[in-house]
Amino acid sequence: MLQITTIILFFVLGFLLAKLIMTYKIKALEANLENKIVELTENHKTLETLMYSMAHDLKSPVRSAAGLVEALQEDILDEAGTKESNLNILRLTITSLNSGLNNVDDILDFIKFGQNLEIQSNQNIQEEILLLITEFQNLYPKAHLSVLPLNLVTCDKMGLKRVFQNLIENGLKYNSKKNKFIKIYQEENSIIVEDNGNGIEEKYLNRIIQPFQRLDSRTKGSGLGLAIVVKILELHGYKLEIESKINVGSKFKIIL
Amino acid sequence: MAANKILIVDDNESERFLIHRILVKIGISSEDIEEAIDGEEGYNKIVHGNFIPYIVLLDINMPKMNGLEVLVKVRAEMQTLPPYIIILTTSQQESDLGNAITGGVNAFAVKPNEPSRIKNILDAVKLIFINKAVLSSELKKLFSYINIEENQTI
Repeated sequence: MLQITTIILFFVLGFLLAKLIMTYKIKALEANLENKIVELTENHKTLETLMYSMAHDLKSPVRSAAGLVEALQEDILDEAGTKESNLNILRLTITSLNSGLNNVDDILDFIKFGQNLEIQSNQNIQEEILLLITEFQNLYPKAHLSVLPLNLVTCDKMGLKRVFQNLIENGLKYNSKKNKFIKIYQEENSIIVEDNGNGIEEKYLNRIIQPFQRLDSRTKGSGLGLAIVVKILELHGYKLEIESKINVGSKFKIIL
Repeated sequence: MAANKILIVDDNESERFLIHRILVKIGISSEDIEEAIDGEEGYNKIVHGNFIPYIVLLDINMPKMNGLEVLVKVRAEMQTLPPYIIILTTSQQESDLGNAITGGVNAFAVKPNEPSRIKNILDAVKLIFINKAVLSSELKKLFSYINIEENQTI
């Protein structure tokens, strides 16, 4: 009799314990679910903002081009335009359309580099950088572009190549000096891309890594260059630090 | 210093060209029109420039300082009117409209899709510019009317 009571007691206790554990687990799952919902809502908001900016950046150049073509048509019909003024309107139209195309390319890249990264160990990124340097040297024959020996890196080669491409391009594009230089070198666990470009004011450093943020109105750009860099590095688990001085230059430190 | 200019603040060269062109076509003298290529230059021209604009046509999405930041800074440093600040933007985000009103904008107009229709907005700008004595409340009425005409969503 005592034995039966013990067994029943044992079962009851076991049942209660199991119930307690289940309740605890359910609560943990619920909390987890709530966190996921918050995360998803935030992602959704980010995506909405991004979509909005994309639509704006695609629409603006097309709107301008339409306005310019209309203006040209008007001038031709009224015989009001000179050859020079007509050519000026055409120049603005071409610039608008090209900037639209450039925006589309950058947006596609921004989306593309979010997926399908193939991260492999021991990649020789220096070879890729040398190829990039040759390409940029053709565009900027007078610039001094150099890369010192770099360690092998765990990375998606195409992804990391894009990081260097954007940083080199920025360093040359936003650089009004005669003797432009870009130096790429290893520093302990980091790779540094140093330029003597126009520099970024400290107050803009946080803003400039966000998508669709631009600092220079004279030079065309989608405002996605550094956002693409940051996104690719984040997917690798790497960090970007920026040191910059106005009119002196910038140091982009990729912390591996 | 008398406020006697219209200042176009837009980072897009084509947009500045088109707005300038239409203003001239409807009878504003080119000498009365000034341009700024981004928010920062716009702010500097309004607050520290060698002229006081009577009307500022201000875009929102611009490098460095966006139009809403310009608006807030200008209003903080220049409490009296002019300049009358008119946001002229492609943005249809309600938050932008809300922030502009809080920031002390005088009018908010969305650039119409058909470029030629921007003339309707600029016609009103001309009216205000030429009749500088018009009271600001009248201005507000006029512009809210134009906004409704131009863009039903606002």
